Amino acid sequence: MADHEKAAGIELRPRPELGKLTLRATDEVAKLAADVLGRPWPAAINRAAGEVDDRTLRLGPDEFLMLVARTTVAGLVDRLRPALADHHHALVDVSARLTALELSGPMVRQALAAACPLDLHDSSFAVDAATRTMLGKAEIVLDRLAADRWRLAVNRSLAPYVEALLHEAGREFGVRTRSP
Amino acid sequence: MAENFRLAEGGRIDRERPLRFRFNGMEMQGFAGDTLASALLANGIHLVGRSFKYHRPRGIMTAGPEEPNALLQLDRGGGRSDPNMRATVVELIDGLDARSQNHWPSLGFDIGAINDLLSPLLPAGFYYKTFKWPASFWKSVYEPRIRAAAGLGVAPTEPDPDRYLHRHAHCDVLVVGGGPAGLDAALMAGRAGKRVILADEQSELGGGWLARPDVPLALAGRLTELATLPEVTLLTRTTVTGYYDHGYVVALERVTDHLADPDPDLPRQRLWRIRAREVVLATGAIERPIVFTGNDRPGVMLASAARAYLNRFAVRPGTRAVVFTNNDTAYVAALDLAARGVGIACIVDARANPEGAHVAAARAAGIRVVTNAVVAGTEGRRRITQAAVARLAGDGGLAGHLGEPMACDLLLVSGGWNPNVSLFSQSRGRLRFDERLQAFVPGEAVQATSCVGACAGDFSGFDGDPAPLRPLWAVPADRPSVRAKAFVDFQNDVTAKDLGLALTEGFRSIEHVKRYTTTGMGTDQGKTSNVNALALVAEKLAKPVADVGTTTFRPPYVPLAFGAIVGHSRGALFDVVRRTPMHEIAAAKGAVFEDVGTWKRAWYFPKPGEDMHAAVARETAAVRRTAGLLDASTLGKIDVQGKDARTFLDRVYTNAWSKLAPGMCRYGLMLGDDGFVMDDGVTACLDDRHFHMTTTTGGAARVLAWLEDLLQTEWPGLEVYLTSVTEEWAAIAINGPKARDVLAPLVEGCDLAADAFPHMAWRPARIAGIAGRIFRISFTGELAFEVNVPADRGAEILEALLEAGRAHDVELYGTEAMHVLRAEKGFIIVGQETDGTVTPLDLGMDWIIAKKKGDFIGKRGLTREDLQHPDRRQLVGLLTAEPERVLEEGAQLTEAANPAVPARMVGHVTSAYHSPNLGRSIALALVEGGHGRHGQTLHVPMPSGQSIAALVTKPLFIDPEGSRLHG
Repeated sequence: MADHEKAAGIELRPRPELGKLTLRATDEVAKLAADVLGRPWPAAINRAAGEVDDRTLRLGPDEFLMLVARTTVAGLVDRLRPALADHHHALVDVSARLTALELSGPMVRQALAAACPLDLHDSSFAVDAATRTMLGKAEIVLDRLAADRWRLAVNRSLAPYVEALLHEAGREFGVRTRSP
Repeated sequence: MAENFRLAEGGRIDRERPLRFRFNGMEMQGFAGDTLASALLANGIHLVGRSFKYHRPRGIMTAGPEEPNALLQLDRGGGRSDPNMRATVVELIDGLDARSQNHWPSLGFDIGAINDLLSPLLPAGFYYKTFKWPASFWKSVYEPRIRAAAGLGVAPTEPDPDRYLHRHAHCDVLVVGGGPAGLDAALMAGRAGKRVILADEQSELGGGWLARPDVPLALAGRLTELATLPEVTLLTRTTVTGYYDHGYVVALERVTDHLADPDPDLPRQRLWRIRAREVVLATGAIERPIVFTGNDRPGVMLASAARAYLNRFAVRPGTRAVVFTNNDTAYVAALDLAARGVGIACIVDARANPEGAHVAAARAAGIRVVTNAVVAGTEGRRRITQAAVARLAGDGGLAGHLGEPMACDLLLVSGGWNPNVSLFSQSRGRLRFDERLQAFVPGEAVQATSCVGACAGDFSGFDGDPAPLRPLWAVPADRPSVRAKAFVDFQNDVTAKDLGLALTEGFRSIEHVKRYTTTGMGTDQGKTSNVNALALVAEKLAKPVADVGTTTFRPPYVPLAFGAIVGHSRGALFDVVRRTPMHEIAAAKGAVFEDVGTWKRAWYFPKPGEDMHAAVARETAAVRRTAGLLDASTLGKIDVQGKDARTFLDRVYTNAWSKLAPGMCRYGLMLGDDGFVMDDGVTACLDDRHFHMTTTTGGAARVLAWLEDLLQTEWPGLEVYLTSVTEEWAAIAINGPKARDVLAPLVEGCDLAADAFPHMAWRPARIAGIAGRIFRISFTGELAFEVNVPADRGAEILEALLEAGRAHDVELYGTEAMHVLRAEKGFIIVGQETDGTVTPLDLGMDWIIAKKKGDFIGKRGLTREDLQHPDRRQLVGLLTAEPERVLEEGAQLTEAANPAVPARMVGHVTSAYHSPNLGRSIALALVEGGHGRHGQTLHVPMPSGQSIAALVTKPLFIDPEGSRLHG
């Protein structure tokens, strides 16, 4: 039956303390980066690896997005620059461009499904799945952190639209915004 | 009003929950579990509307979504008004206000019924033939009058106050229809561990079982098991409305329509957008009416509908019924009705020798059965009162009446059953005509579609078999009369005669016949009429029905509210609204914003008492006198990296990039392959293999996608990566003679002096303590800097600049002042001076086309002969003879002041402003051979008849030597 358990709720939490770094590089160069940083690295496209707040998403054959504590971005860049200097790559700090928004609660998937055309079922979008997709008219990066915990990253000017859309789509389940 | 026709017991209504409702202002009562139709029938109401064209009284004919007649206007209060709602599927709620449609002054006495008497003058297509002249009447007289006279409900005038949502869903198996066949399919798939969605349009699952006197226990068993399967989703009140390509199916869930006081947090309706690997259609079958004279009177009802009202809703649809059938299923209805006290006057069976269990049972119950007979006519104004029965002759004609007409208040009809193949046909599955059933059944599927149960032509689960039947597409007219009407399509008032007329007039294709007669159109899309219509056409053309074929089944299967289609995309969520990091500051300063793409940009900043003109005049003057601050954050920005970055820029821009040194910037024009200007912007060299490109605001996303496309598909060998940084950087332009004085105190680590930091250079710097970049670029012709800092620091920087600028009378300026200032310098705006047909040469920008470098996009296009033509429209300036007169953008230019019509137009105005710095109007225009026309006077004829004279000049009005820029 339709899922109207309002008590279940959805919690929406902005994460401004996260920094974001995009790396465009071939597999080989990306592996070099992973070795230099000594961090878990996603082998497959549309997968994420690492801890919840220290994570690398593979969004395409040569596109990676790191979500890390913002205070560590400069340090990561400083370690990667010399290591990658002789290899074709692009390392760009997009911490200010992307807004990270975390969603938790059992009804998040249903709320997302109001505007996201992807199949978000466990069998096709399990924990650690990550992809670029659409939420309504906004392009987002969607990352499943845990069974009931999701994160999306969206260009800063689209964040108010995405938040308003999630409030509307999740209204029947109850949406609470937690301060960061 | 008392429920005189409600049975004392039985049915699936909840007698503990009585509901009040109104019909045409009359207070009535029903129960939870009723449809509006069953509640009306319980109150003895059959007459519920007037027909579309002839305004004939019409009653409730069906008990399902196929209902052609019982369309009501519903008001749920608060602006919630829905026209054309089928009473047969509307669940009764407390306080519902229902009104009948298409009559005046009242349902009982309707002036429009004169059309019924005038019907000999109103045959099929009469309006195509009658209202042809004069043409001026088409829109002013004929259309409004015909629309007013022939119509259905009234469209609501208030904005829809309800909320609607969409839901994307994916499954292995989608089962459409929750009758026994659908439940079994869902169980089988669910037991196999498949992800299953079962959608059923009714308030409870069970389908045809719910219309039985005793609902089988098996229903509860199946529902219990389905509930234990975690991957099975059961959707009730959910109608599948469209079956598109690749297993894409759309379904409408009515979430709160059945609730009198719904939770406002719930959407009214939810549109499911389902992607299914396999679709199982268990959509059942729809009973066919029979075409005979007077077959549309209130009280004439499909036999299965009467049975559903009796058993499911505990309503006696009449007291004395005649049953007219050509198959067994109506016997089941007759027996059920008889068992609950409805008198059965007679079963009139068209078959010569019907036999079998049901016929025997009817006879055993003492019901009179006449065979080889038909109902030849009916009487009764607002309700049927009698039916005349006649024998069929060997030639298919009538062989005389069978006694006197029989008194009745109910006439049950069954002309056979049509498998409900709408969705199968929508999926592009082919239909096959089944001779035994005399109906279309699913043939070869095109998608992963299977049909089960009655939808597949398998009626084994039915009470009574629809075959064998005697095909009976139309009963011959009893006595020839111009007014005798035998309806094929009830909703559109199409009669058997109308179809005959269409054939007489030469129409042959069933699609043409449909359009000429309107049969099968309207909100019911011919669910009860289509097969009868095309079989009649086949009969008259003496062709097999299969050869005539069906008309196309189109989505949606039932009408949808626009709100459901729109979903959440309305109001604030209609589209994204993008605001810059400094938006709040601009808003606090009183900015008026304009939409640029999806961005809100500050347009101008009126001070108290200022209008737009005054504000723009003040802002433009301030920029040339002291300095102005502009939020330029919306410009597209692309990070370009890789050893081949220069080569890449050389190919996408018209000018040369090989010598641009780190620390310097260059303006570039991008062309399409055709040689026309596509975008422009300044690109800075960060280091030898790293560039920062800017694009127009509106072109940002398109340019990035195009460049990425080029790299991936055309030049995969180039080592270049692109990253959008539009929103990473907040950008503030400081323009004006005091720009350096304003900025300098805030800047660390960068010398702003002219020789250290020349025009078209950039430097990294700390600005107000924030690491960023400063570009010395100008879109005003003034000394100018553009400060870039990370977007989340943008507001801080702007505050600091405003503070620092206070001593210098610095003003914020908006996009309108920016437009005026750049027009004073003749700088183009892509999309304003260009429209996709303008070359750099047309713009007088020959200097930007590199002669020596290799290929670039548009190079070959530019060599086309027509693009070299000296008479092409070229960019010029215009100065009106009257300095105060501002031209209109888009206005056409002529050589003569008052040219004869049709005038030859030699150009058009692309930009026009009042320039406060020049104290007069200025304009830019594209003019044929404009580069050679400087000094000529052209004319702008205005709609008033007056013509405005303007002098053609160079497109440069201020500081022609550029001394201000290098200050």
